[in-house]
Amino acid sequence: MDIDRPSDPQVSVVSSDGTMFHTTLKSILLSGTIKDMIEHIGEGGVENMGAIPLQNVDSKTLEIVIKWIEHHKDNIQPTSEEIKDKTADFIDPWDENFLEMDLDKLYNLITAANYLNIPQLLWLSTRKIAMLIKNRTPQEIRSLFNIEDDWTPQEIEAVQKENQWCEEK
Amino acid sequence: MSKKVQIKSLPDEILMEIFGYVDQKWQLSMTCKTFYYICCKVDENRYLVKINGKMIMNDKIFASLKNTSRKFDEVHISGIDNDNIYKRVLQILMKHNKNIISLHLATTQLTKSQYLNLFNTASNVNQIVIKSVAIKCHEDKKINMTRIKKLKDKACEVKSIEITSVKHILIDQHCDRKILFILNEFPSDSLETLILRFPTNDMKLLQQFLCKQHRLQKLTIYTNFIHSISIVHLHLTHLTIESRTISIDLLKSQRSNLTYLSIINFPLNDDEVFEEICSFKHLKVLKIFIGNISYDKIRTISRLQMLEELTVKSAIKIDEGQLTVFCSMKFTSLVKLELLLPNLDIRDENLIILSKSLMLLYLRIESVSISQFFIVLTNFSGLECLKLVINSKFNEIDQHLNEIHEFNGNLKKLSLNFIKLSLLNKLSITQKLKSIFPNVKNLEVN
Repeated sequence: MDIDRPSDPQVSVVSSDGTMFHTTLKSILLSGTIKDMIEHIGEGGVENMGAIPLQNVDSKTLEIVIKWIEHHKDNIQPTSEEIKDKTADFIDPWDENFLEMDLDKLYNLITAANYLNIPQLLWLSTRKIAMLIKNRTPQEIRSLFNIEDDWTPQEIEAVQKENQWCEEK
Repeated sequence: MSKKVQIKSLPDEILMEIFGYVDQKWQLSMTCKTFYYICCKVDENRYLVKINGKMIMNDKIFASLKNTSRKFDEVHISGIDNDNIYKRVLQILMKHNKNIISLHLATTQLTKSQYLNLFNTASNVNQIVIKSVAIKCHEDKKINMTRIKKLKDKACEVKSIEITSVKHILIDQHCDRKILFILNEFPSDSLETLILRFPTNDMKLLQQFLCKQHRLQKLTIYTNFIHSISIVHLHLTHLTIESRTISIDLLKSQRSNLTYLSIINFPLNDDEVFEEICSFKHLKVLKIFIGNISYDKIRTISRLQMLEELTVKSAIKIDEGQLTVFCSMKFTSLVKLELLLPNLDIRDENLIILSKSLMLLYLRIESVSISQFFIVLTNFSGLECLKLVINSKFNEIDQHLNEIHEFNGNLKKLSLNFIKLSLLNKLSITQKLKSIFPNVKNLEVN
């Protein structure tokens, strides 16, 4: 038994606002972006590579991402190709619960999942917003997302004219 | 106060991803201009539009269909039954003809030349699907001004289909038989697929068509006069025959290229034909309904060593000993097996033998008991999809399910049909199954 070298070594990442987080290699490899970076360092360098700086992720969001990757580190991750074929599938109750957060956090999570290239997390978080949108009127969507109605009555009329055929009641 | 993050600050490609999960985007697209443009972008790559006669006769909808900047590539049209609708459909097709690659026609009633005109207008189409269409005859006994108009119409009557891009044709059930005339209007050697899903008796017409289309690769025919056609000149890869009898000569002529053969809807009772099928070396998919075939002939199926998918249906009672022989056959490439044997209670040991001789990803069996369901689960370890008809009663099922805690395997899809259960019982069983199979993403209970 090789006791000196644990099979899942520790790695550190640093958020854009300078906070350092420790996690394991297996977890962090769920991020396609970091995986690419580590592969370029080469196998031997992992232990000596130092903390990985993540310029585009703040500490609050990084904490959430790490919680997710550590929970899923032993699960087989679908590729972004496989995600495309996914329909309204079964969602893990843990994930469902995990995604219970306010919209600001969710936007940041989506941006981070996109930057870090974690297809499954991106799918879960974008789908979560899609579920919020479903079956709502334009006014409801506006107040939900705090969006201004920037249509003029003339524009609305023109667009409706052009799209008469797809106006679902 | 902290800075509010806006949904609009997400990059376009992420918004497109989110909107892609929303089926009905109209409400969403009306929210604001940004959302409207992103909805249009999501729909641009592929768009299917379904229109019917009533929509077409609505002036506003018609105008929007003609003027829209969206690009449709698949159009389903139904309910064209008068000249006004027909003329408007032509205009819509003319406007969109560059993009449409798949055209579906249903419940329409037009004259022959109107059909030809429709197809000629959609000049980039490579797939045509026809369902429940009828041919209208132009016979009109009344003497009036329409006669003169008709004469004028005749002068510009379309004679044949000129487009060469159509490769696949599917003619579904409930069509007027006369619609088959359309087959012979296609230019020679242009078609690759013909799927004919209603019975044909006009063998002369069908033969004419087959003689003209040398490039045909996939063919589905439904007829009781199969003996009177010849396809010697074709090199089919896919063949589906729906016929009470099968012509051995027809099969022999396709031996060299056929990879897919389906004769699942009528029982095969001819030993000689069965043996012929078993000599098709390249066959990857076989769907067969075994009637009265002698046992030593059934064994010859093991010659099909390229088989990847096998569906066997049989209504007759098969001897268990013979089934053991069948179950112990080795097919090295087989990944999908369907056994539709409703009149047979398969013995446990035969299931175990079967699991040892095959490495399956997909298994469907009709029908098994609840204890056999668990035998299948423990013995077929690589399965990704399992479909079973379970003939046990509620008490037995409930008792078995209570003994199991959790099952972890590769299984992604599980479909169980409990034929002896009430709806209420099915609901309670579905709950239990969900907790037993937490990793199965697709669970169906019927």
